[in-house]
Amino acid sequence: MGSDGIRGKIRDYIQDRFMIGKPLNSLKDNDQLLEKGILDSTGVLELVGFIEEYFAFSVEDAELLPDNLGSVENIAVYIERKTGQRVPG
Amino acid sequence: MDLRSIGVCGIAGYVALDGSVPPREPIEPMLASLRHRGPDGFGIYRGDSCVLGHARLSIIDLEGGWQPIFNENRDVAVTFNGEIYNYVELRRELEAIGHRFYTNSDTEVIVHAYEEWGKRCPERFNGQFGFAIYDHRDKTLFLCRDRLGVRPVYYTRAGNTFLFASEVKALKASGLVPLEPSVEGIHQIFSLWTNVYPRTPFANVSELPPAHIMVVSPRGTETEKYWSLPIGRKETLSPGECIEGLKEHIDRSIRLRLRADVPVGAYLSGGLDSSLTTAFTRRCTSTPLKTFSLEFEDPRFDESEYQGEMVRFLGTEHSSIRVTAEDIAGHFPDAIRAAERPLLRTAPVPMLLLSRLVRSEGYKVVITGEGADEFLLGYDIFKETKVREYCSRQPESRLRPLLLRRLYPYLFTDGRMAKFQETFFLKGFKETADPFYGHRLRFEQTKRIHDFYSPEAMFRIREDPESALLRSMPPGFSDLSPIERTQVVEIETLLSSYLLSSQGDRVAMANSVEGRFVFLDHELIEFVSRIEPNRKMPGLHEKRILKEIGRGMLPSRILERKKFPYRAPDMESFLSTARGRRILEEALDPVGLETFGLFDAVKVQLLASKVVSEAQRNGRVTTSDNLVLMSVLSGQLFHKLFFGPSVPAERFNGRDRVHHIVKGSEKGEYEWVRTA
Repeated sequence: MGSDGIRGKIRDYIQDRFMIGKPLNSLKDNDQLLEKGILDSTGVLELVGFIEEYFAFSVEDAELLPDNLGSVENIAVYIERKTGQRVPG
Repeated sequence: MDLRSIGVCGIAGYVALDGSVPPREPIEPMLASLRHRGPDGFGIYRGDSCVLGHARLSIIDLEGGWQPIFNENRDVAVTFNGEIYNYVELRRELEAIGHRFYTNSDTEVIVHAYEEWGKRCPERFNGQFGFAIYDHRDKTLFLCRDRLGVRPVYYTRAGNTFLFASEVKALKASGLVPLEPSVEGIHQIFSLWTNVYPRTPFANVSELPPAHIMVVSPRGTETEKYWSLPIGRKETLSPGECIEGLKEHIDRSIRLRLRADVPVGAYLSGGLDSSLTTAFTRRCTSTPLKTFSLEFEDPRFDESEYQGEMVRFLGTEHSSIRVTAEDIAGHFPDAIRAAERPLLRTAPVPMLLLSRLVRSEGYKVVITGEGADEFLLGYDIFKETKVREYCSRQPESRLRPLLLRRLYPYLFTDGRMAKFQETFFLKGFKETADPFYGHRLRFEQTKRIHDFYSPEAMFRIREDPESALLRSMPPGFSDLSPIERTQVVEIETLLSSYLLSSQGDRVAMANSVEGRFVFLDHELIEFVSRIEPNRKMPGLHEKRILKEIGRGMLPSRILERKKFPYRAPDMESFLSTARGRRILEEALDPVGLETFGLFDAVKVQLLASKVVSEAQRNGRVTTSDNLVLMSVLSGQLFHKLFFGPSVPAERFNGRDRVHHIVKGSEKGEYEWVRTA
C-alpha cells in the first residue's frame, strides 16, 4: 500500500465509523478530528483499536497524542513512521 | 377537622371562551387519564361556562377535602395541585381581613387570597403548585404555576374551548384536540436537552412557564411573570453570615415542608445534598424517619456504600432497591410515557422505580435535595466553565489546562487519553463572550443528532433552538460572568423541565408520590442568590457553604466525597440485555422510522449496526454514538406512545368515587350530586 493507500484506508474507516449521517466524502486529510467533533475520547480508543488490528503494531501510551492522531494526515504519518511502510495490503 | 390533603393530585378543565355552556363529557376521560396522580377520587365542578376537575389522593379519608373549592359567595372556584406551605399564616391574615373559611385546607387559602390580592396572589404563596381558578364575576380563568416549576400546567385551545391540565395526557384524553408532534419542539430537545417555554414536543400544546400566571377571558389571553430569579445582585456577606443564614433557611424550609400530617420519607443518594437534608429532617421530626435509596447492579453507578454509612449514622429505617440493566431497559418506555417527552438519558427510570418502592411501603411524601447543585454551584459544568475561562486569560499556558485533570479525575484515570481530553474540554475556550459559553461543549456534542435527521425533517425545521433559548433568558443575562450565565441556563432550563419534571414530578407522580424540595424554597433561593459565586465555589471546591454546614452533622467521608453525578447506564442497558435489545430493535424498525419521519432510516440502521458490532467487540459505546442512539430510541418510543395506534381513553370505573358540583341556574345555588 502506498502512502495514499494508508490515507485512503484511514479516511474510509473514519467516515464509515464516525461520520455516519454526514455528507459522503466530506473528510479532508487535514481536518482536525477532535476540534471538528468527529472524534471524542471514546472514539479515539476505538480508532486506536482499529489501527492496532489493521496495521499490526501496538500503539504505545506515550504516542497517544493529538499530534499523532489528530487528523488523517497525522495518523498516516504516524503509521508510516511506525511501520516503515511495512503495511499490509 | 383537618381536611388537609397532600399535593399528589392532578388538575384538568376547560372554559368556553364565547360564554357558551361547555360540553360535560370530556372531563371524565381527562381526569381518568390522571388517575396515577390522584387515584382516590375525582371532583368535578360545572359552572356557567367552565368545567373544573380534580383527581385526588387522600391521606385522611374524609367527606370533605373534595375539590374544586369555593369562596364565600361561591363565585370563585379553584382546582389545585400542590402545596402552599405557609397556608397557616396566610389563613390567619385573611381571616383577620374578614374572609370566612369552610375547610382547613391550603386549597381554600388560594381562593380567598385571589379575592383579596387578585392576580398578584401567588407572590404571597410559599410552595409548589399548579392551579386554576375560575372567577364567575368577570368570566376569567386564572392559571398559575410555582416559581421553580415543580408542578406542571399545560394548556391548549380547540376552537372556542380553552383547556388546561397537569399533564398532556389529559388534554389528549379530552378528545377535543388531536395531538400532533412538534418537529420544532422535538428539535429543541435534541439540541438543548430541554424545551424553551412555552414550547412542548406537541404541536398544539403549550406549557405554562414556572413563575407565570395566565389570565384567560373572552377578551383575550395574557401571560405574566410574577417572580424572577434574583440575578446579578451580589453582596459581600462574611463566611459566617453565609453559613448561618443558609442554615436558618434550610431549617425553616424543612419545617415548612414537614407540615403534612403524614409520615414523611427522605430520598438518600449518599451524596452531600440529600445526606444534609436527611440529617436536618432527622432533627426536625420526632417520628421515626424512613429513608429510600437506589442501588445499581453496575458498580460504576452505585453509591450504596455511602448510603449505608449515612443510614447507620442517622439511625433511619431504610429501604432500597437494586436496579439492573434489565430494569432500566424494560421500564424506559414507562419513563417516556410519564415524562411525555423524548429522554436523552435513562436516569429518570431508576427514579420511577424508587417512587414505586416508596409507594409500596405506604409513604406518599419524600423530602429531597434537588436544587442545591444549581444554586450553590455543585455541578462539574460550573467548574469546567471556571477552568476554561481561567485558561482563556493565559491561552498559551501549559499549566492551566492541568486543572482539568483535577476536575475530571475519572476521565483522566486513563492517563493515555489526557491530551485528548484536554483538547476536547478546551474547544472554544477563548470565546468567553459566547452567551452559552458554559454549555457550548454540550450543545456542540448534541448537534451530532441532527446528522441523522431525514432531509424532509431538516426542511421543516425553521427555528434555531439557541436563539429561542437566548430570547427566553432574563434581562441582564448577557452582563453576567460566564459562570453565572451557566448557572442561569441550568436553572431556567434543565432544572425545571428535566430534573424537576422528567426526573422529578412525573416519575414520582406516576406512583402517586410527592417530592418536597428543601433547596427550592424561594426565600432560601433569594438568600443564596445574594452570595458571590466565589464564596459558593472557591477555587474548584464545590458547594463550600453546604460543606461547612455539614461539618459536625455528617460523617467526614460524606463531606469529603467528590461530587458523584447521578447517572444510570444508557445504551449499555439495551445492548447488554435480551429485553433491551428487543426494545431497541422494535424502536429502530424502518417502518416506524418512516412513519415518524424525523430520522433517516438508512443512517440510523448504519449507526445501529456499527454500535452493536463495536459493543460486541469491546463492550464500549462512544459518547457520541450513545447520545445519538438514545435520542433515536427515545424519539421513536415517544412517537409510538403518543401518536401511534390509539388506545381507548380511560373512563371512570364502578369503584371510583366521583363528586359532582353543579352551579344551579338560580341565585347561584349549588346542587351537590354524589355518584358511584
